[in-house]
Amino acid sequence: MDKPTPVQTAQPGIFAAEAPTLSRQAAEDFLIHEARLLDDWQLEAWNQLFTDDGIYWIPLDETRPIGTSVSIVHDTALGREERIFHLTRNSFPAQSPRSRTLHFISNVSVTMASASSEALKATWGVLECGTQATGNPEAQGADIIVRSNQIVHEMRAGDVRQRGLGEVRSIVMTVEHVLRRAAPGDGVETLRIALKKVLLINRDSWLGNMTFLI
Amino acid sequence: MTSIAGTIPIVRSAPQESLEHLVDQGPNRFRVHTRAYTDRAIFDAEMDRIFNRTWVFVGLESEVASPGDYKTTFIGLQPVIMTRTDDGRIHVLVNRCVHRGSVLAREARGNACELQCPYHGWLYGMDGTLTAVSERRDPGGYSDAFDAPAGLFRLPRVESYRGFVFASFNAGVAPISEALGRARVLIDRRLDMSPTGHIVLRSKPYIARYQGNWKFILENINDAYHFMHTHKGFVALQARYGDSTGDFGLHKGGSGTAMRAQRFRGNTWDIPGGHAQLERPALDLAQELAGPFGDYYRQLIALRGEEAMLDTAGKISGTIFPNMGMIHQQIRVWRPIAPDLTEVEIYPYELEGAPEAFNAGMLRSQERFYGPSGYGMSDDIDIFARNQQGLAGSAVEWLILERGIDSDEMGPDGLCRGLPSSEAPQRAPWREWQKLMSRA
Repeated sequence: MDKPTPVQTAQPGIFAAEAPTLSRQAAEDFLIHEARLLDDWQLEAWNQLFTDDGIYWIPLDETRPIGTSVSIVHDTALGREERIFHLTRNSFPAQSPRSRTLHFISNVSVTMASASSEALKATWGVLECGTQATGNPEAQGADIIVRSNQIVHEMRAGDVRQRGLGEVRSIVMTVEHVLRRAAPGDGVETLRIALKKVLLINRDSWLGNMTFLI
Repeated sequence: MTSIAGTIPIVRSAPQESLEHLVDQGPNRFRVHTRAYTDRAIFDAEMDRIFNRTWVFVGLESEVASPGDYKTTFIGLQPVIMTRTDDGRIHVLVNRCVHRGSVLAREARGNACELQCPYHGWLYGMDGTLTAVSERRDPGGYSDAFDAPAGLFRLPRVESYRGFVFASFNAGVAPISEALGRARVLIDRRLDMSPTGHIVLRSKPYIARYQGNWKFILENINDAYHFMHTHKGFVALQARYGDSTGDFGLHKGGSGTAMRAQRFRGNTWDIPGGHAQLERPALDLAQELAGPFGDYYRQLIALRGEEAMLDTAGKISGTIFPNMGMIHQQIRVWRPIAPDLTEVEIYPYELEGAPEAFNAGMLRSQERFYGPSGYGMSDDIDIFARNQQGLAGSAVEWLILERGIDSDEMGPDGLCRGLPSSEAPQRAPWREWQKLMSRA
């Protein structure tokens, strides 16, 4: 006779069996720090939060593996460098005048991405750059997944009476950060972003000017 | 019984007089009146005289591949459904219950064996035939005297060219192949980049809206003139990162000087029917053959012949009047919503049988230029809002579309070829616009 199926008491991705090595408080501190860098236009410093193989991903169709269909943003390290160069050094109509942003962060949860985690597979299985793919036994199971709901309010200033300017827009999204430790220690300063995946609530609707960083 | 295929719909509020005076054409003169972009009454007349009269692109056959598949879209302001029936035929139906008006399908795509109105339950087949009026014989229902409609409004003309489906409310339009004329070259060359001649839609479309008139996007796709100005930020980026971030699509070209040189080669076309094209000669084919996709290019040369391949591998963008264009590796569709509001859909496609890395590179370079966070299209969209804002300066009556007009070569058949940065492709849709708008 088959063994009885264990009763599922935890929902994968929300209440993982493995105890998180990062407290919710610390995760919030990290997200607030990241948001402040973006809102304060400290874009180079923001970029330094990523691992060398880190990805900044805003999917259009999150049901397809990354890279197999067009995304809104699919930035590797070089892609982020280019984006930041464009935003900070080039003049272009879509950011003349520039966007102001203000991030609001809530519903933060922290889980460990163990090899058995469905959430991890859903993300890493398609990324080819996670702990599973690199096969680093020390890093195995060490990734931390921080999920949050975020609202970014955005406005372009200038002559606010003109079309397209002076309107406050709300960008509503779920953000999944896959974090790694860049060095020993449990402080927020050793955390690096291996993946920032932004799921916009309106990703399949018409999108306006999204030429700023979220 | 009312026929299922109705007559050409009319917007009653639209002006009835000729509007041909809104385009001022003469020797070395081509100007368009501001009202053609701003006036609601003229917009209503456009829905009547253009969108309800000409062929309008509605989608790809492959979007309704199986019986029961449907896709919803719009022809001008009118919501329509494209369906495929069991016999394999494609129909385009007005997405409106003929009883009390409710829209039938609210999903963008789906599969169904019938269409039922959620309001009172009237039932239609996928070809639009009314198959049941609910509770017909109930007390207070319908008697035998009821003049039941045959079904949904079915567009009288639906035709395809290489899998591109066009529909018209006007039973009298010329066959699509004839109506496209030289615009067929646009579809042919893009599809012939696939060894099988087919394209595949795997990505969801980018959808954008801009606060400007629909003709802005129609004019913009083939506009070689704006590129070095509107997109000068992108040109700077391309010079710095082009090789490393891998744009091997339309904008491959390296330095600003090289890009400028490239943009001023080739031809522009003003094609009867309002269609337009911008053509650039092929890149150095020898270089492509020596590159990572050499086998793919050799396969294409074997299939198409070297001479044809020089054209096929060239860069071509174009518009098919009034609502569709192709550029890079995408189909672009737009729909007018109001004189100052337009929706644009960008469908990046993949070439069946092309190397995976080639298709992937095309997707990446479209994220980089055309997506809402990209470095190109978002600038165009910003400019369109600026244009509409600027047109409020109505003291200036006319817009000037005269660049290159005296070097255009008009052929006897009305096909007009311009030099590479001529505004010939911008004049093309306005010539057709003027023709159609002169008749109420």
